Amino acid sequence: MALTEEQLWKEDFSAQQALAEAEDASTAMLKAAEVPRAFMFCCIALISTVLTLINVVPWSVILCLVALAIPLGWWYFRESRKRPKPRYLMTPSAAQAGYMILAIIAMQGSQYWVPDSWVVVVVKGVVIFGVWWFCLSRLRGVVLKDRLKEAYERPI
Amino acid sequence: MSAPSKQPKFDEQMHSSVRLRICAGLAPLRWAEFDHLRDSLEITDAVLGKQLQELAEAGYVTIQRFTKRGRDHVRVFLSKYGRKAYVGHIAALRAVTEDDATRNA
Repeated sequence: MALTEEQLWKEDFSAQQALAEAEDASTAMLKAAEVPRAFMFCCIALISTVLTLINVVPWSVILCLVALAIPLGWWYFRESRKRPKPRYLMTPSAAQAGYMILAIIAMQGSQYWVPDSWVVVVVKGVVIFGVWWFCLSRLRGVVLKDRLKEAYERPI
Repeated sequence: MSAPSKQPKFDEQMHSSVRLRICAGLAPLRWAEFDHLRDSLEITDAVLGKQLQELAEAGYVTIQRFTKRGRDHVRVFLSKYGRKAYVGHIAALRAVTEDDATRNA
């Protein structure tokens, strides 16, 4: 008699393999719950553009750029409606706070860098974008690991 | 991975690859729709439906069916009982792998 998939699993049971399967399943669902990277790219591009152009272009232009946050918010709302909902983190790790603080320092520090030519404006924009992309990418990774850890260990 | 904070307890319901993956998929979430689970776990509707039914009968998952704006939704989440069982089962699996590692050292 042929064995079913379930019986085969029991025959060849390996705790390590079971743990790996559980981790893969949790990771796949968490990734499905995240908003796409394209959304993160657009957010960071908008933030770095605004931070770069403050005191370079008139405030009306800055306000127009900030208004782009409205369609971005709508995009986020529509994307998050289609996705599974992750649990709230009870114990965020220190690394999460570290990357958040680094991003805020980059934002505050950028105000002291006053560009005197359009080339420097572009360089400043690229630097701010790079720092924020680094921080938020790492933050996503850390949040994913923290959520996985809580899924394994938090029984309530 | 860090040390388990829950008493290890091997769970017979989760001694099935598909059921373990379903619970693992739901563990980091508040809820997921049936379609999300099926697509992420890459299993068929029939297999997922059958295994979810078994888990629901054992009290591990709760299945909510409702209609919103003319569309049928099936929302699934781990119950408190299921979450405790899953955490205990993972702790038991970790204990086994740690024992194996100690024995092989």
